[in-house]
Amino acid sequence: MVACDGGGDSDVPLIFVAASLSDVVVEAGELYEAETGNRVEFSFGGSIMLANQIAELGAPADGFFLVGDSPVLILREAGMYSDDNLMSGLVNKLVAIASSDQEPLTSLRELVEQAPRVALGDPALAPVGIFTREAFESVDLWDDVSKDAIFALDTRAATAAVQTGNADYGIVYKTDASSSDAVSIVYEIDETYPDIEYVGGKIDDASQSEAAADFLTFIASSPKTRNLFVMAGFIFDSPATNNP
Amino acid sequence: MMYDIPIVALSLQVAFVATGLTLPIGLITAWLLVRKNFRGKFLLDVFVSLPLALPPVVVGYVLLWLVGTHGWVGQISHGLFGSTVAFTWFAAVLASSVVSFPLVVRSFTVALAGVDPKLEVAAKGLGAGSLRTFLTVTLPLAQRGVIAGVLLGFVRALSEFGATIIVAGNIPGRTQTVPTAIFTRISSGDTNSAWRLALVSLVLGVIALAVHNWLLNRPRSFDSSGLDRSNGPPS
Repeated sequence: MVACDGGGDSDVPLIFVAASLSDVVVEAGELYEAETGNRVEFSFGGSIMLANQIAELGAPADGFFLVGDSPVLILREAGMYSDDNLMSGLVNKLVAIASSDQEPLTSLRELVEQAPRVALGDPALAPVGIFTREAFESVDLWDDVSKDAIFALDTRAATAAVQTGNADYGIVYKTDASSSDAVSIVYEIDETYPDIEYVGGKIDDASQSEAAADFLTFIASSPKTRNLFVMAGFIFDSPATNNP
Repeated sequence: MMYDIPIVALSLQVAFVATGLTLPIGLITAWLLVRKNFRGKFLLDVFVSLPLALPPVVVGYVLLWLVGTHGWVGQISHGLFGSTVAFTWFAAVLASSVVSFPLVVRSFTVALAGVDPKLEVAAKGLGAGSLRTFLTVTLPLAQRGVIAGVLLGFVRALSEFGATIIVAGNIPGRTQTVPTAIFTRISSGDTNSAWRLALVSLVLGVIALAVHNWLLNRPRSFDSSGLDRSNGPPS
């Protein structure tokens, strides 16, 4: 019989991370291990789905790094998160993507008028879907775009749908567009939608909550990790607060 | 490629432990169904087969409802150990065990039904107890069907997805198995690495099924009364 030590160690903090941050957070985790000798593990997915797993289903998260207001609200209402943000000021933008040979667009209306298949984040699972819905609603086009849309679990899955040719357009974060050569940005959405801001924090009462906090503080303050985020296309709307 | 090894290892670990759980429980259940008459036998039979008829996602949800923070099993384990098994590798074991259980029990009942009860009566007449009779007479005569059932259960455990992703999640390095890793890679457009793991699944499945079929078709060495011919796949 195989040794029953299971996958992963319970003394390593587990951080639930928004799908849009997956690549850069894995790199930040490697940097963190190299500099401090401490390990971190991650679970990636749509931020709302992850917040519900922590708040409602008992998922063993020690910290989180999610996007938008709703996941944080879910955690606060469950009484699992009360601290100040350990990681904030990191923002993203919403764009329309298509396969690399597509012409640029001038508005969301132009996109909808082509009656394409559009891959969107599912607003019930991923904040990108909520931002997308608000952007389309602000120009009264949500019903038109959503009736034939492909709803994806998260922004990465929406990007993949365009990348594989299963959708004509996708509404995703700007940073996802640069993660693949097969897609390109055809329109930077300037219709109205809420600010897309990431929030990192520790889960109160989790066994490795302080270790999770240490990692998030490292990300927020290390110039190297900040550089990783900038290289990936994220924007900081505030300067680094302190040095490690 | 390097990232695949821990995923495959965890999948094998989950499937081995699940098989270790379903083997003894499955044998007892099959023995009750084949050799005993009792009130509620019909219900036990239905209950045992139920995971075959339910969508695996429902099995996962029921398990989560039991072992999660709000479930009664979860409340007890939280009280005792300060944590629940939801979203741990053992939750994946539970999911795989429950989903593969009907297949295991079905193979076992066919194998046990093929053993002539007269031989068990004879063993008991010679002074052997029930347990000894089962271990020294019934089980050896049914062994090929039992091993085939174990392998079938192992294959099903290895390929479990729907119940696993609900109750164990899909956490890399902790609960991510081959099927859930493939799902992540497909969702994120990571085509090559998705195919690579799909190929691993194919190889593992072919090996287990080849052994399963070989066991059922290989000529018998000694038993004349063992399992019924109709048990084997068409050769």
